[in-house]
Amino acid sequence: MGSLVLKAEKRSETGKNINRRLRASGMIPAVVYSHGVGESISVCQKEFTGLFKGHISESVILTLMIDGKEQDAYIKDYQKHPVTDQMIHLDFFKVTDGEKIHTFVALEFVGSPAGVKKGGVFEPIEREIEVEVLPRDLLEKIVVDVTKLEIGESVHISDLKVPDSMSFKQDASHSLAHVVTLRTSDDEEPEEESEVIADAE
Amino acid sequence: MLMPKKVKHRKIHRGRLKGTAQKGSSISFGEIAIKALERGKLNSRQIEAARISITRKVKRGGKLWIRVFPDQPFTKKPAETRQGKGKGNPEGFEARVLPGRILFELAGVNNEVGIAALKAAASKLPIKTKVITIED
Repeated sequence: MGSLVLKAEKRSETGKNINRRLRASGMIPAVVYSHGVGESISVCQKEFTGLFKGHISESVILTLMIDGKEQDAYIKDYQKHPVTDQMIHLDFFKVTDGEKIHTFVALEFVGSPAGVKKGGVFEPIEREIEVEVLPRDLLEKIVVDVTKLEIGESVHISDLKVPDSMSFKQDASHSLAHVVTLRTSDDEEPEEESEVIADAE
Repeated sequence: MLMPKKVKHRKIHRGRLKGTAQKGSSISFGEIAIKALERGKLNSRQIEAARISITRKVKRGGKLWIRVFPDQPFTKKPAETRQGKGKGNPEGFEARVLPGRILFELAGVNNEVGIAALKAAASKLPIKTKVITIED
Protein backbone atom coordinates (compact mmCIF):
# COMPACT_ATOMS: atom_id res chain seq x y z
CA MET A 1 0.00 0.00 0.00
CA GLY A 2 2.72 2.45 0.98
CA SER A 3 4.60 4.15 -1.83
CA LEU A 4 7.62 4.61 0.42
CA VAL A 5 9.73 1.58 1.13
CA LEU A 6 12.04 1.40 4.13
CA LYS A 7 14.38 -1.48 4.81
CA ALA A 8 14.55 -2.67 8.40
CA GLU A 9 16.37 -5.36 10.32
CA LYS A 10 15.19 -7.30 13.32
CA ARG A 11 17.18 -6.66 16.45
CA SER A 12 17.35 -9.10 19.31
CA GLU A 13 19.40 -7.07 21.76
CA THR A 14 17.89 -4.13 23.61
CA GLY A 15 19.13 -1.65 26.17
CA LYS A 16 20.78 1.74 26.18
CA ASN A 17 24.36 0.62 25.53
CA ILE A 18 23.44 -1.58 22.58
CA ASN A 19 21.25 1.19 21.15
CA ARG A 20 23.96 3.81 21.63
CA ARG A 21 26.35 1.66 19.59
CA LEU A 22 23.61 1.10 17.03
CA ARG A 23 23.12 4.86 16.59
CA ALA A 24 26.87 5.36 16.27
CA SER A 25 26.88 2.84 13.41
CA GLY A 26 24.27 4.89 11.49
CA MET A 27 21.12 2.98 12.46
CA ILE A 28 18.01 4.08 14.33
CA PRO A 29 16.52 1.75 16.94
CA ALA A 30 12.82 1.30 16.33
CA VAL A 31 9.85 -0.79 17.31
CA VAL A 32 6.92 -1.99 15.21
CA TYR A 33 3.72 -3.00 16.97
CA SER A 34 -0.01 -3.48 16.77
CA HIS A 35 -2.61 -4.67 19.27
CA GLY A 36 -0.06 -5.10 22.03
CA VAL A 37 2.33 -7.32 20.05
CA GLY A 38 5.57 -5.76 18.95
CA GLU A 39 9.08 -6.48 17.78
CA SER A 40 12.31 -4.53 17.94
CA ILE A 41 13.82 -3.46 14.65
CA SER A 42 16.41 -1.00 13.39
CA VAL A 43 16.35 1.20 10.28
CA CYS A 44 19.11 3.00 8.41
CA GLN A 45 19.42 6.65 9.51
CA LYS A 46 20.48 7.86 6.05
CA GLU A 47 17.68 6.02 4.26
CA PHE A 48 15.09 7.31 6.73
CA THR A 49 16.12 10.98 6.51
CA GLY A 50 16.18 10.63 2.72
CA LEU A 51 12.54 9.49 2.75
CA PHE A 52 11.23 12.29 4.95
CA LYS A 53 13.69 15.11 4.18
CA GLY A 54 13.67 16.63 7.63
CA HIS A 55 9.96 16.85 8.31
CA ILE A 56 8.55 13.60 9.63
CA SER A 57 4.94 12.90 8.76
CA GLU A 58 2.79 10.67 10.92
CA SER A 59 0.20 10.38 8.17
CA VAL A 60 2.17 8.51 5.53
CA ILE A 61 1.82 4.78 5.18
CA LEU A 62 5.11 3.18 4.28
CA THR A 63 6.15 -0.35 3.54
CA LEU A 64 8.64 -1.77 6.00
CA MET A 65 10.83 -4.53 4.57
CA ILE A 66 11.69 -6.39 7.77
CA ASP A 67 14.32 -8.94 6.75
CA GLY A 68 12.67 -9.22 3.30
CA LYS A 69 9.10 -9.49 4.65
CA GLU A 70 6.73 -6.62 3.75
CA GLN A 71 4.64 -4.86 6.39
CA ASP A 72 2.59 -1.68 5.98
CA ALA A 73 3.03 0.71 8.85
CA TYR A 74 2.97 4.37 9.77
CA ILE A 75 5.03 6.37 12.21
CA LYS A 76 3.19 6.49 15.51
CA ASP A 77 5.83 8.38 17.45
CA TYR A 78 9.42 9.53 17.22
CA GLN A 79 12.10 10.91 19.51
CA LYS A 80 14.69 13.44 18.40
CA HIS A 81 17.76 14.70 20.22
CA PRO A 82 16.87 18.21 21.48
CA VAL A 83 20.16 19.76 20.36
CA THR A 84 21.51 17.78 17.43
CA ASP A 85 18.08 16.80 16.01
CA GLN A 86 19.42 13.28 15.50
CA MET A 87 16.68 10.67 15.43
CA ILE A 88 16.86 8.63 18.64
CA HIS A 89 13.96 6.19 18.31
CA LEU A 90 10.99 5.43 16.07
CA ASP A 91 7.65 3.78 16.78
CA PHE A 92 5.90 2.17 13.81
CA PHE A 93 2.29 1.00 14.01
CA LYS A 94 1.24 -1.92 11.80
CA VAL A 95 -1.65 -1.19 9.44
CA THR A 96 -4.45 -3.74 9.22
CA ASP A 97 -6.71 -3.49 6.15
CA GLY A 98 -10.24 -2.34 6.98
CA GLU A 99 -9.28 -1.20 10.46
CA LYS A 100 -9.36 2.52 11.22
CA ILE A 101 -6.15 4.12 12.40
CA HIS A 102 -5.64 7.02 14.78
CA THR A 103 -3.02 9.49 13.68
CA PHE A 104 -2.18 13.14 13.19
CA VAL A 105 -2.50 14.80 9.78
CA ALA A 106 -0.67 18.04 8.99
CA LEU A 107 -2.67 21.15 8.05
CA GLU A 108 -1.42 23.33 5.22
CA PHE A 109 -2.86 26.83 5.12
CA VAL A 110 -2.77 28.27 1.61
CA GLY A 111 -3.38 31.81 0.42
CA SER A 112 -2.98 35.20 2.03
CA PRO A 113 -5.97 36.02 4.28
CA ALA A 114 -7.97 39.17 3.41
CA GLY A 115 -7.69 40.31 7.04
CA VAL A 116 -3.87 40.38 6.86
CA LYS A 117 -4.05 43.07 4.14
CA LYS A 118 -6.15 45.14 6.57
CA GLY A 119 -3.53 44.94 9.31
CA GLY A 120 -4.41 41.68 11.03
CA VAL A 121 -2.05 38.83 11.81
CA PHE A 122 -2.79 35.30 10.68
CA GLU A 123 -2.30 32.89 13.52
CA PRO A 124 -2.55 29.11 13.07
CA ILE A 125 -3.94 27.51 16.24
CA GLU A 126 -3.34 23.92 15.14
CA ARG A 127 -0.65 22.71 12.77
CA GLU A 128 -1.85 19.12 12.76
CA ILE A 129 -5.08 17.46 13.65
CA GLU A 130 -5.93 14.12 15.25
CA VAL A 131 -8.01 11.92 12.97
CA GLU A 132 -9.51 8.46 12.80
CA VAL A 133 -9.48 7.14 9.25
CA LEU A 134 -9.33 4.04 7.09
CA PRO A 135 -5.77 3.49 5.82
CA ARG A 136 -6.81 3.85 2.14
CA ASP A 137 -8.32 7.33 2.82
CA LEU A 138 -5.38 8.67 4.81
CA LEU A 139 -4.18 12.04 3.51
CA GLU A 140 -0.59 13.23 3.85
CA LYS A 141 -1.86 16.73 4.58
CA ILE A 142 -5.14 18.63 4.61
CA VAL A 143 -5.06 21.82 2.52
CA VAL A 144 -7.07 24.71 4.02
CA ASP A 145 -7.81 27.79 1.91
CA VAL A 146 -7.69 30.90 4.12
CA THR A 147 -7.89 33.64 1.46
CA LYS A 148 -11.39 34.80 2.53
CA LEU A 149 -10.54 35.06 6.21
CA GLU A 150 -11.23 38.55 7.62
CA ILE A 151 -10.03 40.04 10.92
CA GLY A 152 -11.72 38.24 13.81
CA GLU A 153 -12.76 35.26 11.69
CA SER A 154 -11.58 31.67 12.14
CA VAL A 155 -11.42 28.42 10.20
CA HIS A 156 -13.10 25.53 11.97
CA ILE A 157 -12.89 21.76 11.64
CA SER A 158 -16.34 21.83 9.99
CA ASP A 159 -14.83 23.85 7.10
CA LEU A 160 -12.42 21.05 6.12
CA LYS A 161 -13.03 19.01 2.99
CA VAL A 162 -12.01 15.44 3.79
CA PRO A 163 -13.04 11.87 2.82
CA ASP A 164 -16.24 10.54 4.48
CA SER A 165 -14.40 7.86 6.43
CA MET A 166 -12.24 10.47 8.17
CA SER A 167 -13.50 11.61 11.56
CA PHE A 168 -11.95 14.06 13.97
CA LYS A 169 -11.32 13.63 17.67
CA GLN A 170 -12.19 17.27 18.38
CA ASP A 171 -15.49 19.14 17.98
CA ALA A 172 -16.54 20.43 14.56
CA SER A 173 -16.56 23.93 16.04
CA HIS A 174 -12.89 23.75 17.07
CA SER A 175 -10.85 26.61 15.56
CA LEU A 176 -7.82 25.76 13.45
CA ALA A 177 -6.60 29.25 12.61
CA HIS A 178 -7.73 32.85 12.92
CA VAL A 179 -6.81 36.39 11.95
CA VAL A 180 -6.29 38.62 14.97
CA THR A 181 -5.40 42.23 15.61
CA LEU A 182 -2.36 42.76 17.74
CA ARG A 183 -1.94 45.16 20.61
CA THR A 184 0.83 47.56 19.54
CA SER A 185 3.82 46.68 21.70
CA ASP A 186 6.08 49.59 22.50
CA ASP A 187 9.55 49.36 23.91
CA GLU A 188 8.98 49.87 27.57
CA GLU A 189 11.85 51.36 29.49
CA PRO A 190 13.25 48.96 32.07
CA GLU A 191 11.96 49.79 35.53
CA GLU A 192 14.15 50.72 38.44
CA GLU A 193 15.63 47.35 39.35
CA SER A 194 16.16 47.71 43.09
CA GLU A 195 12.53 48.67 43.53
CA VAL A 196 11.36 45.69 41.48
CA ILE A 197 13.46 43.19 43.43
CA ALA A 198 12.24 44.64 46.73
CA ASP A 199 8.65 44.10 45.57
CA ALA A 200 9.29 40.45 44.74
CA GLU A 201 10.69 39.80 48.15
CA MET B 1 11.14 43.16 32.90
CA LEU B 2 10.03 39.63 33.68
CA MET B 3 10.14 38.64 37.32
CA PRO B 4 8.09 36.56 39.78
CA LYS B 5 5.29 38.29 41.69
CA LYS B 6 6.51 36.74 44.93
CA VAL B 7 9.22 34.26 45.90
CA LYS B 8 9.27 31.52 48.51
CA HIS B 9 12.98 31.93 49.31
CA ARG B 10 14.94 35.14 48.78
CA LYS B 11 18.27 33.37 48.26
CA ILE B 12 18.84 29.93 46.77
CA HIS B 13 21.83 27.66 46.18
CA ARG B 14 23.48 28.01 42.78
CA GLY B 15 23.44 24.29 41.94
CA ARG B 16 24.63 22.78 38.66
CA LEU B 17 23.00 22.57 35.27
CA LYS B 18 23.12 19.05 33.88
CA GLY B 19 21.69 17.24 30.88
CA THR B 20 19.64 18.56 28.00
CA ALA B 21 16.19 20.13 27.82
CA GLN B 22 13.50 17.45 27.97
CA LYS B 23 10.53 19.78 27.69
CA GLY B 24 10.23 23.05 25.79
CA SER B 25 12.61 21.80 23.12
CA SER B 26 10.33 22.08 20.09
CA ILE B 27 8.43 24.95 18.47
CA SER B 28 4.94 25.06 19.97
CA PHE B 29 3.36 28.39 19.02
CA GLY B 30 5.29 30.30 16.37
CA GLU B 31 7.07 29.63 13.10
CA ILE B 32 10.64 30.72 13.83
CA ALA B 33 12.48 30.28 17.12
CA ILE B 34 15.74 30.67 18.99
CA LYS B 35 17.09 27.41 20.41
CA ALA B 36 19.78 27.25 23.09
CA LEU B 37 22.84 25.17 22.20
CA GLU B 38 24.56 25.63 25.55
CA ARG B 39 23.52 25.54 29.18
CA GLY B 40 23.50 28.80 31.08
CA LYS B 41 21.59 31.40 33.00
CA LEU B 42 19.68 34.22 31.32
CA ASN B 43 18.87 37.10 33.59
CA SER B 44 15.76 39.21 33.18
CA ARG B 45 17.75 42.10 31.68
CA GLN B 46 19.16 39.89 28.93
CA ILE B 47 15.71 38.46 28.15
CA GLU B 48 14.28 42.00 28.03
CA ALA B 49 17.14 43.21 25.79
CA ALA B 50 16.47 40.35 23.39
CA ARG B 51 12.71 41.08 23.41
CA ILE B 52 13.26 44.78 22.64
CA SER B 53 15.68 43.86 19.87
CA ILE B 54 13.04 41.62 18.24
CA THR B 55 10.22 44.22 18.53
CA ARG B 56 12.43 46.88 17.00
CA LYS B 57 13.46 44.70 14.06
CA VAL B 58 9.97 43.40 13.38
CA LYS B 59 8.50 46.95 13.70
CA ARG B 60 4.86 46.08 13.05
CA GLY B 61 2.87 42.89 13.13
CA GLY B 62 4.15 39.55 14.26
CA LYS B 63 3.56 37.80 17.53
CA LEU B 64 6.27 36.91 20.02
CA TRP B 65 6.36 34.20 22.67
CA ILE B 66 9.00 34.17 25.41
CA ARG B 67 9.39 30.52 26.41
CA VAL B 68 11.65 31.05 29.43
CA PHE B 69 10.85 32.85 32.67
CA PRO B 70 13.44 34.25 35.09
CA ASP B 71 12.13 32.69 38.30
CA GLN B 72 15.41 31.94 40.11
CA PRO B 73 16.84 34.72 42.31
CA PHE B 74 20.58 35.41 42.17
CA THR B 75 22.73 37.34 44.61
CA LYS B 76 25.79 39.52 44.39
CA LYS B 77 28.24 40.79 46.99
CA PRO B 78 28.90 44.55 47.03
CA ALA B 79 32.10 45.80 45.35
CA GLU B 80 35.31 45.91 47.41
CA THR B 81 33.98 43.50 50.02
CA ARG B 82 36.10 40.83 51.67
CA GLN B 83 35.03 37.19 51.34
CA GLY B 84 32.80 35.74 54.05
CA LYS B 85 30.20 37.52 56.15
CA GLY B 86 27.38 35.60 54.55
CA LYS B 87 25.75 35.38 51.17
CA GLY B 88 25.32 38.54 49.09
CA ASN B 89 22.17 40.53 48.49
CA PRO B 90 19.48 39.52 45.98
CA GLU B 91 20.39 41.20 42.71
CA GLY B 92 17.80 39.97 40.25
CA PHE B 93 16.22 36.94 38.67
CA GLU B 94 17.48 34.50 36.10
CA ALA B 95 16.16 31.65 33.99
CA ARG B 96 18.20 28.46 33.94
CA VAL B 97 18.51 27.11 30.43
CA LEU B 98 19.61 23.69 29.23
CA PRO B 99 20.82 22.88 25.69
CA GLY B 100 17.92 22.38 23.28
CA ARG B 101 15.55 24.76 25.08
CA ILE B 102 13.43 27.06 22.90
CA LEU B 103 13.88 30.63 24.16
CA PHE B 104 11.78 32.81 21.85
CA GLU B 105 9.20 32.05 19.18
CA LEU B 106 7.96 34.40 16.51
CA ALA B 107 5.02 34.19 14.09
CA GLY B 108 3.22 36.43 11.62
CA VAL B 109 6.31 37.87 9.91
CA ASN B 110 8.07 36.71 6.78
CA ASN B 111 10.98 34.36 7.32
CA GLU B 112 13.64 36.84 6.21
CA VAL B 113 12.60 39.55 8.69
CA GLY B 114 11.94 37.02 11.42
CA ILE B 115 15.33 35.32 11.13
CA ALA B 116 17.12 38.70 11.11
CA ALA B 117 15.17 39.77 14.23
CA LEU B 118 15.94 36.57 16.10
CA LYS B 119 19.62 36.70 15.14
CA ALA B 120 19.78 40.24 16.52
CA ALA B 121 18.14 39.02 19.71
CA ALA B 122 20.50 36.04 19.96
CA SER B 123 23.45 38.43 20.08
CA LYS B 124 22.05 39.87 23.35
CA LEU B 125 22.18 36.48 25.05
CA PRO B 126 25.16 35.03 26.93
CA ILE B 127 24.91 31.54 25.41
CA LYS B 128 25.33 29.99 21.96
CA THR B 129 22.04 29.66 20.14
CA LYS B 130 20.66 28.85 16.71
CA VAL B 131 17.63 30.09 14.82
CA ILE B 132 15.30 27.34 13.70
CA THR B 133 12.11 27.33 11.65
CA ILE B 134 9.10 25.05 11.83
CA GLU B 135 10.16 23.37 8.57
CA ASP B 136 13.41 22.16 10.17
